[in-house]
Parts: sequence; structure tokens; C-alpha cells
Amino acid sequence: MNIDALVPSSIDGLMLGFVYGLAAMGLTLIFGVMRVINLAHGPVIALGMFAVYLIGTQFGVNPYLGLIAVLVLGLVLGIVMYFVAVHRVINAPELTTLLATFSVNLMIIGLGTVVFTTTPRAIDMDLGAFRTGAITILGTKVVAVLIAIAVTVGLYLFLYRTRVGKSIRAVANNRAAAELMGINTTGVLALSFGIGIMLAMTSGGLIATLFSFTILAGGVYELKSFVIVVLGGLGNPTGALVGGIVLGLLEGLTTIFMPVGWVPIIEYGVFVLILLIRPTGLFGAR
Amino acid sequence: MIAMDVKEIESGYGEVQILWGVSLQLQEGHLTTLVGSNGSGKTTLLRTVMGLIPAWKGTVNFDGQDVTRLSPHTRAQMGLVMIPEGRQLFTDLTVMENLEMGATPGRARAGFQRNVEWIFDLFPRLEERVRQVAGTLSGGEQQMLAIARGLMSNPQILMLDEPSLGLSPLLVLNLFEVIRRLKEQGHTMLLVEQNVQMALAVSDYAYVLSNGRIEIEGEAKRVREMESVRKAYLGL
Amino acid sequence: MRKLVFLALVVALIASLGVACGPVAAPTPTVKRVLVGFTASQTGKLNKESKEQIQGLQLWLEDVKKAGGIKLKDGTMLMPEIKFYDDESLTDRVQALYTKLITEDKVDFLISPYSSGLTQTAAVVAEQYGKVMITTGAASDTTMEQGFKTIFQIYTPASRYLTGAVDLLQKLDPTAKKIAFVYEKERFSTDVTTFAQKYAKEKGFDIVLFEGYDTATTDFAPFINKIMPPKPDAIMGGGHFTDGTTFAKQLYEKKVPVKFVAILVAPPEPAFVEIGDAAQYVVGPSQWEPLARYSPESAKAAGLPWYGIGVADFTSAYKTKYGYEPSYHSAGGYAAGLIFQKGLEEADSVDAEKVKTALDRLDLLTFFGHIKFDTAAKTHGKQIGHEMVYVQWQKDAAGKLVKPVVWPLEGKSADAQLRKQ
Repeated sequence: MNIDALVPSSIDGLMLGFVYGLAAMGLTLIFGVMRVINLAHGPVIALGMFAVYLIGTQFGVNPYLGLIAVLVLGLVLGIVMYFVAVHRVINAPELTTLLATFSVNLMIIGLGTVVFTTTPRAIDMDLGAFRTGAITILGTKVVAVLIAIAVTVGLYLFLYRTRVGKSIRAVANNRAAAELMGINTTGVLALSFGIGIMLAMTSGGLIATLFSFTILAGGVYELKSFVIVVLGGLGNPTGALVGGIVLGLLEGLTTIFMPVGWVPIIEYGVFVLILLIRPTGLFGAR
Repeated sequence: MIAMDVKEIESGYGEVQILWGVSLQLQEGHLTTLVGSNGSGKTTLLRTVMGLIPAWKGTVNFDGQDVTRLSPHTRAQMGLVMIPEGRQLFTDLTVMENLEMGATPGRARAGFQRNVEWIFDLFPRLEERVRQVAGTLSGGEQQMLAIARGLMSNPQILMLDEPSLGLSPLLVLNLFEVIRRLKEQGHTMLLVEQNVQMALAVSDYAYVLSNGRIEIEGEAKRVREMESVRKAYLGL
Repeated sequence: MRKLVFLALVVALIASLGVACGPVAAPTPTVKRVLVGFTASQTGKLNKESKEQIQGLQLWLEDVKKAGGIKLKDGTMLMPEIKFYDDESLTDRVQALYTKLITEDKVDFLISPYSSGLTQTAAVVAEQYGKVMITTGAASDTTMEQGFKTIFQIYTPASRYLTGAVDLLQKLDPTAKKIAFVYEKERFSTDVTTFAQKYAKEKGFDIVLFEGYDTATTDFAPFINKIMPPKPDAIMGGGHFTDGTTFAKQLYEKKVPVKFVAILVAPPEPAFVEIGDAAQYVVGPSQWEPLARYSPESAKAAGLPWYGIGVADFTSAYKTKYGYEPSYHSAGGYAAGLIFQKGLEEADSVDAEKVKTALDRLDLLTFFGHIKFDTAAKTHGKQIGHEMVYVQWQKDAAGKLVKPVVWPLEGKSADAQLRKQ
């Protein structure tokens, strides 16, 4: 037990938590709006990693600028995914949509393995670091936190200050009534799914600036996302950021007191505990 | 001027047929009532007219166009607005946000501010609660918000499905006062009601639906006098 | 029907005449095909190292073909052919594919996949069918302590993998007292680090951390946070190329103030230099280096017979064929073929029993180092002749990063340096 490591570890965990939160935001949005559990969440995050990497290596574009392209790419991909895999089964029992999104998961992994192989890739980004005593804060992590915050604020403003954003919340609340108001609910669902995928891919792009990755790398973030969705409240996107920070902090603290391999066990323990006590999540809206 | 023409509608749920060739017409500026006992198919008819359930046979003509195959939101955009049974508010959104959603159709957005003022004039209590989350309003306030929301889109036709359901007698009086005022302002409305007495009292024209078929139709005054109606629906 | 039979008889007659009236020159030596099977990790996380290993083996094959084959005493020329499949870096695939190679493709001999984990699986299958398998790229002790009869290990096993680093540390800085060990949680890395840690304890060192990480780990920050407070003098351990490289990079980024860093597998790879300044001072054990000093002269000095290609020739031939310097994985691949060839020559046959006996008797020096197999029943086939060399990345006079051999003292081409911030 190293108390000296407490501060650096907590800071590391906290900063990563912002990125975790961003990763989970898309998952919780999709679930909140259309009650669909997107099991393709992980592979989509990995696609975001590759997108930023390829834009960087093929076109020589700075990864942070590449993120903008990834935002657009994610939105388009999400809308396509909605119409291909989700639209027709959206009123079917939840198991059907689970299977539909899971099959997309398998397709992305399968195709991705063939195209990219599982050779690890990495983006070489050095933005210096801020050091004091035992604490080192990498520049890339700071930028990642700032971008995560910016995206969260952007999402919040969109959902609460724009008409389209409010119509998304309306559809999430009561789809039939929204239809009666003249809102094209199918369009709204497609857009929401698109935004969810966009958020996941963007978080992937950010993660790629921090760690090496393969097409399988999204899996671990998908699992963390489920825990965060439950922590932050099902369907509550800004709650996801809070949930992510909590999880990151939890990870940072846990690694000090026990072998690092135990961290996932602790996380899932928390996940199950919260589901038992408050099924709608700690900050659950519903 | 005929605002809406419904011809020979047949529809139902799954394998069960509810409506067996229902026809009705709405005159512009008139308040038309549709009465009938539970299970007669009143709500089914409204939902079919709105497009929430598909018509197996028959047509719906609105504003001179055949809308039978159009989606509900397109019909709403054209000006056919339904205030559904049980309010169906956006309970997570504020009063103002509910009104904003009501004003979704394009032509409603230009006059948004004007409409809001008109709504607050009609429903002063809503102005007081404008930032409150809709789910926290009382039953009566929710009913008002549901109607207000529907009005925000400058509807050509307003259809109300059982608006008095679950309201106390005082609130029911209040409700019909609002309906009377809307009628005076010239709105074309279709009212589906269990409270036959008050509905017939305020309407111009009436239809009586029984077992999925129109049994009786005529001017509301005359329908109110009919022996069969008085016996079956007015407890006399 | 009768016409057909008649036609067949005519054809048979002509054919037999043709054979009988063949060229009456000196009988050409018969060329016998020897099929060698293995799996390659063409996909999956081991694909980089496996590719190096296979390229080495293919270079050996080319050299044999150039020489006309492997010559036996009676003049028969054996021509080896290889057959391989993609194991996707997965043990399940190895199991299925080695069985296929033996039962369907009917290979004569086997070579192992890359990595101890996959080789363990392949060894069980090979032993089961009594097929002789030469393992390379596999340094686990436990695999070679199961009393296998037909498995022969080329690499220095894990128990002697990192012990030299402890010796080097002691020589370089006698005041160093505390070591932190971090290892990838798989067979090879766990074995190596466990043995090294035990050895370090025996040598009087204080072990301040001994913790494993998941194979898929990409973030070593949690470990680095744990390593820093007890202020160790040295950090040792690691896993394979990707995690080793990432770990070295993050140690540099976090400016961890340790004097000595020894990482497995990654530092000897020429590609390790891609992490830039983070590579400086990092020590790594290597099964072989291009600057190794093995030669017919040093063989004579050690009283051993010399066999096969020289170090410089191998290095330049590999560079010419593939465009870059060979790593020890490449050398291991070539060595597997080379030892296999020697085994056939000594056995003077392709019979498995004879080849096995021949391999048991080998004790020689090659470009790869000293090769000798253990013959005791329990540890049969374990490599007991070969030793590790240690490289350290250092900046030369021009500021360029190079990796001279710094240990053992008899084999070094430069002095070791302590890590400076």
C-alpha cells in the first residue's frame, strides 16, 4: 500500500475518467432515446481510433483536427447503422435489438480484423508534460480532458437549447406524442443514433492519442461504458460524464490498494451493486 | 365548407376488427361530437384518422387532400392535431418546452410569440408555471397544457380524445368553458367524450357510435332530444 | 471394353520400355522430400515476432536449396519443404492445425510456432504423435520439464533469461539494493520474472514490487504510480514487443527516476528505436545479436565443433533478402532449420528415432551460440548450452541510438551505462 502514490494515481484516474465518460455518453443517449442497448458500442469506439490514425497517416492531418472529420463520419455512420440494423426491429422486444446491434458488432470486428489485422497501432503525440514532485500530467491527457468537456457542454447545449435537441428529448420521453406534434420521430431516432455513434467514435479518436490500440481495443471501454451508464443514470448523457469521472477516480484509487488485475472485478462489483439498489442508476432520470 | 371527410373506415388491432365502415364529416368552424359507450370504437376512430393505426379500408380526406397513407407527423404538419387520451405530455420537459414542441410545424413557428401570449390568456395558470417540469403539474393543469400544446401549432382541425377523463367536476366545468371559448374563436373541432350531457350541450353536430358503426347522426340539439339517446346515454 | 484394355496394355508396355531404356549415364542421386510443418502467427498479437522467425527459417531453406539439398552419407539428397498455416496467435488454432499437419498433411518433422504459450500446445500434439519437433521462439522451462521425448528446445530457457541483468546491475552499481518486477501475465513472462526475482533475492536484493498485468494492457500508469514510492534502483520485467515498448515509453514520459531498466523481448528489436529518446539506457536480454562474437575461432577456444553459416554472413544475407537487420527471432528461425539439418546429417536418415538420438548427442557452436540438449528423462530436450547476451541502447558519438552488447563481459562490444534523467 503506497500512500505516496495516492495523489498521482488519483489524478491519472480522474483525467482518464473524463474520457471514459465521453465514451459512455453515446451508449446512454441511444438507450435513453430509443431503449436500445447498442452492443456494437465497443467496435465503434475502435473504428474511431482507426479513423483518427488513418487520417493522420494517410493525409498527414493532426489527430485533433482529424477528430472533426471523425465527428462527421460518426454521425453519418450512425444514421446508416440505424436504418440498416435498428429501424425495422425498433418496436420488437429488446432482445431483438440486442441481437441486431450485436451482429453489427461481429461484422465490424470481423471486417476490421481482415483489413487491419490485430497488429497494434499507435499515434505518436507528444505535447510535453506538467511535472511537480511525483505527479506527471501529460499534455495529451489534458487536451483529452478539455475536448471531453467541450463535447459534453456542446451536447448539453444542443439538447437543452436547440429545437432539434429538445425534440430528441421529447421523443425519448414519449414517442407517440412527439409524432402527434408533427415531429418526424423516425428522423429523430436516426439522428439520435447517429449522435450516439458520433460520440463513441470521437472518444475512440481521443483514446488513440493516449494509448496503442487494435480493432479489439474497444471492448474494454464498452464494458466500462455499461458501468458508467448505470452510475450516471440510464439515458442521462451529462450524468455519463459524472459517472465516468467517478469510475476513473475509483480505478485510480483501487490500483493503489490492490493488484491492478483486480480493478475490473471491483468495477463490475459496483455495477451489480448499483443495479440491485437503484436500477435506474445513481443519477437516474427515469 | 367541409374541413374533413372520413369515408367508410374499417380498422382494428391485429386480427380484431373494431370499425365497420364509419363515415363522418366535419364542417369548418363547427364543434362536432362523437359519443358512444366504452368499447364502441371512438378512440380507435380518432387514431385511425390520425394515422396512428392504419385504415384497412376507407379514406380520410383533410383540407382537400387524401391523407389516408400519410404518417401521423405529416398529418400533424398539415394541421390535423390530436389531443390524445390521457394527455400524453412530455413529462420530463418544462411547460414552455412542451409548448415549443407543440409549435413544431413550420407555419406555427413564425407566430410563436403571439401564440404563447394567446395561450397564456386562455390558461393563466400555465403562465405561472412556465418553467416547471410538466410531470409535476396537477391533473387539471396537465389537461390544460395538453390542449395548449395542441393549439400552439395553429391547427386546422383539433381533435380531443376524452379530455374530461380523470378530472374533478369543477375542472370539467372549467374544461368545457375553454372548449366553448375555442368554438367562439372559430376553431374546427372533433370532440370524443364520455360526458355526453356536456358534450352535446356545447356542440353543433353529433355522431353516435355503437359497436363500430354510426347509429345516429344529426344536429346536436336534435340528437339530444332523441328518446333512444336519452335512455342509453343520459340515464333517463 | 476390349479396345480399352488393349490400349491400356500398349501404354503400359511403352512406359516400361521407356524406363528400361532410360539414359545410361551415371545414376543421378535420388532426391527425397522431407516435409517440415509449423504454424505462423500471420494475424494476432504475435504476428511481428513470428514473421521474423519464419523469415529466418526461409533464409535457411534457401541456403539448403542453393546447396542442392541435405546430403546423406549414401549420396541421397534430402530436400526439405515447408508447410504452414496461420494460427492467429491462438492456442486453439495451434492445437487444431498441428493435428492437421501431422494427420492430414503427413509432415515428417515439425518446428514450433512462436512463443512459449503456443509452443506448449504444439509440443503436446507432437509428443502425442511421436513427431520430432524443434522449438524456437519458446523459452519456457515448464514446457521442457514434462518428460517429452521428441521435443528439442533451441532458445535459452526462462530460468536463465533475466538472471544476467541482475549480475550486470550488481557489477554496474554495487550500491543498488531495490528492484521492482513487473510482468505480463502469461507463461513466458511470468516464468522469466519469477526466476529472476528468486535469483535477485539470493544475490541479496530487496524486491519492492512483483506484480503482473493483463496481456491487453495499454496503460502502465497505474504500475508506474505504484513503482515510484518505494524508490527502486532498478525496474525489470515486461512481456512482448508492444507492451514492452509502451512501458519503456511511459517510464520516460513520467520521468521515473530509476537507474536501471531491463525489459524483455522489446529492446533487442531494431524497431524499439522508434520510441526515440525513451529507448536510451534500456537494457534487454537477447537470444542473439548481430554483434555477437561466435566464430570458428571461439569454438576452437571453447573446445567445441563449429557448424554452419557465420554471424556476419547470416546478418548480411538476411539484410540483403529482407531489407533490414535480423533480430534474434530471425536468427532463432534460421538456427532451428540449421540444427534440424545437422540432426538429419548425423542420423544419416529421416527416421524419427535416429534423428532423435542424433540430436541428443549434439554439442556444438553455431552462429546462434552453443547448442546442447539435456538428455535427463524429466528435462529431456531442454536447452542447456545456449546463453543470453544483453544489449543496451546508447547514444553514440554522433547522438544516434545504437544497441551494443554490454553483457556478458566476454562478449561485450561496449560498457554498460547507468540511466540518467
